[in-house]
Amino acid sequence: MTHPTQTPQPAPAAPTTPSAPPLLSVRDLTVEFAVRGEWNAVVSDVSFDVGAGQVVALVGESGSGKSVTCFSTLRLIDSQNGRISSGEVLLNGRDLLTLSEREMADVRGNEVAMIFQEPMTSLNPAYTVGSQVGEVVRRHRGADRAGARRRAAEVLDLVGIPRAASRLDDYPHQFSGGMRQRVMIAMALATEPKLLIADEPTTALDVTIQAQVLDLVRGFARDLDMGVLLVTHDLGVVAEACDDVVVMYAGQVVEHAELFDLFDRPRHPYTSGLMHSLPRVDGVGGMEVIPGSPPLPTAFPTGCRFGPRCRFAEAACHAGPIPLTPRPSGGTDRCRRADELDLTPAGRRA
Amino acid sequence: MGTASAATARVLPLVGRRLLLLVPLMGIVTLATFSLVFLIPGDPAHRIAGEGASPEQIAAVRANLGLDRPAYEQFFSFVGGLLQGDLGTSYTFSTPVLDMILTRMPVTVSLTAVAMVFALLIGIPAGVLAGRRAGRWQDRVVTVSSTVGLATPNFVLGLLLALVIGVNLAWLPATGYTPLSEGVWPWLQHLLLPGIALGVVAAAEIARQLRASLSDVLRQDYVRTAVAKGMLPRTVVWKHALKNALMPVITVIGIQVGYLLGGTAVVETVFGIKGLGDFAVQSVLAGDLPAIQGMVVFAVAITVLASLVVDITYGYLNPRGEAH
Repeated sequence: MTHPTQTPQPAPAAPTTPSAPPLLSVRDLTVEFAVRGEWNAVVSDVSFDVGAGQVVALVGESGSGKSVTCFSTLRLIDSQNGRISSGEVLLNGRDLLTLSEREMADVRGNEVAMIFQEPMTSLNPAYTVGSQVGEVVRRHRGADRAGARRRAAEVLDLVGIPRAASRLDDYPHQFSGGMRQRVMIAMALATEPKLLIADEPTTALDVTIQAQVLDLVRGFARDLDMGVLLVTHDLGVVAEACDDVVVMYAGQVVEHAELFDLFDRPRHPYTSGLMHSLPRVDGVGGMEVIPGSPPLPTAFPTGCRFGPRCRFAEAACHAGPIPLTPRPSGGTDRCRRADELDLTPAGRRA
Repeated sequence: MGTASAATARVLPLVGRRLLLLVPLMGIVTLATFSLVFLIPGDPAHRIAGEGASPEQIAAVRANLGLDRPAYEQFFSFVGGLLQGDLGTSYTFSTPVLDMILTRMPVTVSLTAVAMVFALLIGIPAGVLAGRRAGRWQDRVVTVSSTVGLATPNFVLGLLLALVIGVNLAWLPATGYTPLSEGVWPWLQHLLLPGIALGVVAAAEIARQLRASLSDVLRQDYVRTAVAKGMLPRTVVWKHALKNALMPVITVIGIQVGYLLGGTAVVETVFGIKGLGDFAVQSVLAGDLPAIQGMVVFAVAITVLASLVVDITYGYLNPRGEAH
């Protein structure tokens, strides 16, 4: 493994129809949460794949269900308030939703690792960094104390922690936020998982650190042939690091496409709205705000869920659920006017 | 892992500072204790000399005890004695107070230790269970039981245990004490019932505190991280969560040591154990001032020591060093 320092170029899109089953295949996932005793679907019929070595972005505003989706893949939903009511989460063809708790614990941190949004609170303050990283190796690789310590030093070095071996006995509070996120990544990579789920890994970090952390993730995906599911609300992060993009809105996938295709030819008004709400360096047409706010799961519209906020909505859009349909250039979208609208940057300016 | 020595380095200055603090604290306590002499109604010389004593006899006793000297003189001789390890001589037992305390200390330390071990053995698992199942029936069972435990006076529980288990069922001795030197089982046998009677409140307090802090800690991000790493539930709870959840509990345990010592007065009386608690009760009933003073000074020393131990434990549990 080399230390990934160079800026990664977006890799060519992975084939959308691979012959072998994809590394991760989420099929029709529906997750419900109880609000005052009533179950509401927060995520409805979400499907997407992540191939080995591929970085797939799950994009949406807060409340779109993207975090719930990624927590559900590892079955980390609080069982008192939430439940996965239907669907499949296939890892190399094996449905994780049918595993026992014990079998699931063997998958977590081993085949599938996860990093979180808040590096400041995601590490245990009472244990040293070395023991927290080493612990995964002991748990999943059966390493002894010394072996785990060696491996911890190795991966901490790999993620770019200076003088890693001498910092094993330091506690999390002795690290900065960016360094802690590196520790989290080291912990996730220590067992060389096949899939990394990253829930807004850069949101809490400042911009320069953000880029470094993304480079790391991107580099490891390439070097270890690891699939990455990257949850973010930031299209800048998407553009920098991903191959495939799944856009979620109000618990549904609204558009799913390969990165460049999505940016060149967005077909869902929400995707296009997200792109145009980005600040632009050239100042052309940037920072348009999508009016309104996303609906709560207790009050999802019966028709197009984005309809009430969409400037292209017609009466028919509100009539009933909009199905997910194939895009001409690959992928899917959920807009009944997709064919007639021109949401490309040129089209919008016209 | 070399962390133990790092923790020691963190804790040592703390110990030094605490020991220094002990000096003025003991000074204040000594003065307060000494003032007791003048606060307690009645004339100790009169009480010691007996009901029918003549004024001459009382005056002789007073002179003998040094009670006829001015207060400041008495105070300095009291402090002077303290510094040489002399707590004075008990009026009633006619033995040096320090000797009395030292002979009876092993009894009370044994009782307190059994009570504390009982409190930890019950309180920690109960608190963990309730904390993990917060809001469910297990939690309710623990919460209700601990409320009952807190509300039951230890003499009531002690009498009940002594009667039912000690007398009616005759499973365990209802009274008395056997030193540890005569075997572990005879020793423990005599201490189980009083230990339980004394330890129930501490167990309840520990369970409540642990339930609260554990259910809070279990919602922390780092616990989710541990689960996401594939740690088994027992590791997540007993390692990752518990070490953090125990910090506030340690404080409670330290405070409970003080309460346990106080509780021995009642429990030792109920179970007929000749320990420090019993000594304190006897001294108060007899108006035996040197004994009372000695006991108070001794109790303060123990309490300060307990809080020192708490702080040291804190230093080991909390890598950020600096207890509160």
